[in-house]
Amino acid sequence: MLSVRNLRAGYGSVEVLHGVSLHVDTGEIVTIVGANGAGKSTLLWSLAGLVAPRGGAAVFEAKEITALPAEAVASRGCVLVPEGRQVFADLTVGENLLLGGYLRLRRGARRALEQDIARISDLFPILASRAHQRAGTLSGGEQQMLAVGRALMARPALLMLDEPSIGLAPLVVREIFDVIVRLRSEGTTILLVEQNARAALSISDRGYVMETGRIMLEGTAGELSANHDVRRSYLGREYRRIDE
Amino acid sequence: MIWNKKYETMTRDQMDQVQLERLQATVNRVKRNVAFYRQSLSAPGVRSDDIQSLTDLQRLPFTTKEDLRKSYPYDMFAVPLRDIVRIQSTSGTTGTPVVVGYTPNDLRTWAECVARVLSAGGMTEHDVVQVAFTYGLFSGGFGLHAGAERVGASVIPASTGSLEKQVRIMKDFKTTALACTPSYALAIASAIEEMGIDRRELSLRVGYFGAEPWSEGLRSVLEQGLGITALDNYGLTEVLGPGVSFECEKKDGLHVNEDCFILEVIDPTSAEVLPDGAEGELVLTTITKEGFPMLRYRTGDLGSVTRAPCPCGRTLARMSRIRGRRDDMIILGATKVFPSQIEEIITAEPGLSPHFEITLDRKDGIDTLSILVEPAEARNGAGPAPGHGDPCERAARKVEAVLGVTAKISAVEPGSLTRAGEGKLRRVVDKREI
Repeated sequence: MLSVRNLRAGYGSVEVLHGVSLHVDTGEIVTIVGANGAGKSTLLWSLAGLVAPRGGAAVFEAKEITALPAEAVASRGCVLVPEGRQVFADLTVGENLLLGGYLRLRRGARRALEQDIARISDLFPILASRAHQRAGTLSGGEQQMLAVGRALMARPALLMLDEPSIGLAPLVVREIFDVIVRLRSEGTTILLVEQNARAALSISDRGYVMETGRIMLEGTAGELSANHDVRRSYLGREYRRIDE
Repeated sequence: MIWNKKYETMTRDQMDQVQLERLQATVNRVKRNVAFYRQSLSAPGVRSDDIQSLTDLQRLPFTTKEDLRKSYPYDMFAVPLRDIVRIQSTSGTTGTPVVVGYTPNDLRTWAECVARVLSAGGMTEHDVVQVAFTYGLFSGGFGLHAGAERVGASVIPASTGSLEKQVRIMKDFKTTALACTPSYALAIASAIEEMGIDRRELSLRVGYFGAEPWSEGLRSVLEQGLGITALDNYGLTEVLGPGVSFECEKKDGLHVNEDCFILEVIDPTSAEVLPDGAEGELVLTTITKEGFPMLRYRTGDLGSVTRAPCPCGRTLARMSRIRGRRDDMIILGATKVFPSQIEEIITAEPGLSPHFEITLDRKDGIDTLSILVEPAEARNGAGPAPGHGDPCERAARKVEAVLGVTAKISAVEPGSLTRAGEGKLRRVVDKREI
């Protein structure tokens, strides 16, 4: 579904991604594990068209998306849920969701959008009950659900999530991850960036370990969890309690 | 049967992507973790930071057996020893042994690779497998063992030793699959005859033979003698052990586990990479190994590679059967001969048994090749095989015609030559250097 080769990206004179290659097959949940500053977010941003790549190629559903503007990438079905939710605080939950379908709304798909809102309310009942509440008044976990719900309004084939668990209570993390698993079973492919490696690997098929802008290891979730380096660096004891 | 549909049947595009990703990750890891590679990959012109395609692999330096010997025992390990859960080693018959470490993931990968070997020969959980490789530092025994367990077969760790015991186990335990060296299989086949056991009393169906080069001639001898399908598999401890490549039921080349290894063929003299189909030295790069990764290891084995699809459905590239290891090559004056080529001629000669021994000597400055061979009586027990004239002379004429060397071939008493015992059989005695 997505294959990336030798992707380079950076800011000003600093290169952050030094030739990253990875792929995501249809129906997979793939996790990118790495420490803060490894370049994981930059990777997602450059795939989503928010940062212009300086080299390499990204092919999504057999078409090149490298250097496409963000809205073009999203309209092809490759949608990012950014880190820190980034919901529109002054708008209501319902308005936030509708905006997620903005590209489709312009194409006159209002009825389909309403159906999707119903489906998302089914996925996150809390969003339905808060439909008229301003997004800024939601808790962190609820905002994360809204961010995911908003992304789903674009009907993504590939959903890219940047640190969806950050700053959330363990129970809420579990809930978000359960939703990710459910989305996959309903046909959405997932690319996940997470510092909470243990929780992420527990729901993933495969993963990559990223260090200082380079991929150091690729493997099944089981292989990565069994790798001593990964265990020492990313699966420390402090993570164990979050999802277990 | 195809064990891993995903990796064994993926398209070339998909495989290129997998190989490139894993190659880049391997280069990044060895540069960080192995002093030898940190140095060799930083040399000018290597540009190891910038491997953009599989062709860029050609810029990287080779790793030689000499490099591995210098790193004895642990200097090539890419993880601390506490992460290593298994150590195997080469025999060291030709010099300092090479010591290889495996992480838990390496052992898993190894079992997966060997499971594909066995599955390609039809092995399932219903099989009873006799692993008659030596269990020890030599990687053959444990490699086949783990793969057979992964498949779910019933594994008999018979190891090597008394042939009579092997045959008794084979008969009583109703062994359906045999895994060992081809020379040991031949010894077992002879023992079965000598013990007067009818092979219909055996349940044997398939043989997985490897660790030595062997000929098509020996294949038919083993298939007829044991009543089996005999399949070749290839591997070497330096990159994994058994499980690098394997034959499917088509017996038309060995499928390389390309999601774990990148195979190149080079000209052994100029070290230039050769195109598909050309014969040269096999060079292997591991792309999943954690404990003991290898970049461009010069195996010393000679063969070629094809990417043409195989009717079995696997899309994995295929390498030719190994004609010989560079170390086994017999150089007689200006001519190069492999023991497997001589085996091919001897096994094709109805009057001769496949038991033979090659001696090289030097007389008055000229290299000589003499072969001792047991006649065929021992094989069928029905008197001398038909044919006109002396079978030894016929074989000698053929050696001269096909291989271009003069060989003195003489018959010896049946049963007088050494049979394969522990590990690999040494068929060539070179007295020239003594």
